[in-house]
Amino acid sequence: MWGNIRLKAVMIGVFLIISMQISMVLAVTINPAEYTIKDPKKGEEYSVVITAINPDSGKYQLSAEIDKDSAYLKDFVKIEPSTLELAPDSKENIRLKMFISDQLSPQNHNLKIIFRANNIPVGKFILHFALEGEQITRFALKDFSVDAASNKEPIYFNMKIENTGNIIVSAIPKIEIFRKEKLIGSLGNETSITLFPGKTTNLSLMYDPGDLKEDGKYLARASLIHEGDTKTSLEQTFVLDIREDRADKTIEISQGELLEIEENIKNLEEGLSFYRITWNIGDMSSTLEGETDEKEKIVPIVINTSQLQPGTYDLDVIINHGLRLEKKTVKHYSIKISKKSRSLDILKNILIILVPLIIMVIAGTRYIPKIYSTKISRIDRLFMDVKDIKKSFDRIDHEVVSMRHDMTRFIRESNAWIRHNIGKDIGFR
Amino acid sequence: MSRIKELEAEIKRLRQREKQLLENMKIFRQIFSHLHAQFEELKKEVQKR
Repeated sequence: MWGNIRLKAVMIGVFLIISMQISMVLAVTINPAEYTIKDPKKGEEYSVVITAINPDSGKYQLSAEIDKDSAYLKDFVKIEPSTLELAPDSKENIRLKMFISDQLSPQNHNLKIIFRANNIPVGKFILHFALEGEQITRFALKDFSVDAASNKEPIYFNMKIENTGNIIVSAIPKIEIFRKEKLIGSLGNETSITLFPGKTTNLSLMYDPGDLKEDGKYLARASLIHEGDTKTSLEQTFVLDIREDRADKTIEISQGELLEIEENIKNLEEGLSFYRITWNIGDMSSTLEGETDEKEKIVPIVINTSQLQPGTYDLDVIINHGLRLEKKTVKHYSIKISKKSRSLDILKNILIILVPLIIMVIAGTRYIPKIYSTKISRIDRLFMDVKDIKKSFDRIDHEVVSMRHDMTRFIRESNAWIRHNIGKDIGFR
Repeated sequence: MSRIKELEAEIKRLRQREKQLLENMKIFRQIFSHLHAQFEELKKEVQKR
């Protein structure tokens, strides 16, 4: 009982300390709360003095930072100082400098600065200015693609949106899904995205295809809505394979045996074409990449199944090919892995012993030396082992090359994304 | 016979090396997919803001 009371007392104490901290911090005030630059001229810098007042008997660490909605203005703003110590019962001036750059779009801008005392927000300051000029609102929707395989996995709609106008705008992306010209689903249409002039935004929207019940071809339409009007749209077809028994082929192997399949890639280009084959079975997956200038290319896929327990597995093979890997084929295999039969092993061993004996008996006087037959089988086994190891090392070699490609592509794409979205060269090396 | 034994020993070593390589590749793939997932999270986070 006493433990309980002590715990309650400690909790009340902590609560009181926090409340006192908050109420003390809230005493700091920021003045003025907003200011408008009248008739701003491009190429000039404007200064505003903001005063932070501390009527309290405690001292505070004050910080000022640009709000995320105004982050695009950060290259043109100086806050001097951006952090300072507010002594008890004192006031300090903070100078805000706004440079009106040629790069700023002809529209209303609101620079929002957030002030924190001991890390708790205490106030904000908003600097308004309007830049004149002809406003051009224009977008371009590009590279619309759909990653879809079955209705058991999420569908990804990918696109690039380029603001080719000269002002910052908010637009709402919307995806509509049609089956035989009938609208059966949509997504987006709620959250708007901010597009900066001259910049491209990569967008990927995820859709749960659980309600897409029919097998076959669908049409997706991506649109951008700005102030209630659809500005631009693109269409793309995609295929969903939702058969219950999706397997194109059933393969039976025994536990630990190598699973070998061959994929035939048709090159519809005039010259060189690229391919990427991604497979997954159980928890394992891998990607093979390559190029070909032949009309048809047979790519062997060899999978080491030693990690898989006996049972039935789905093997999904996704083949992207074409000059920009834009063509897609999906194959499904049902893999039945049976238990490694011990009795078969025993039978094999018995046969290995029996066969030379039988040969010896049949040969009669024509004696076949035992050592000879043993040597042959050992050499054969060695030869098979060497072949098997070569195959395995070739596969490892192939996979390492593919992993290197994946890694290089990832580094390249993520660096581009970081440069574009964060604006600094802080990416992977 | 001794040559065969040498070859068998070499194959055994190669098998161990193969196992080790497969294990390393598995770890690499796990790290890479983790890195990939983290980056996708970051992208979503930035887009949300």
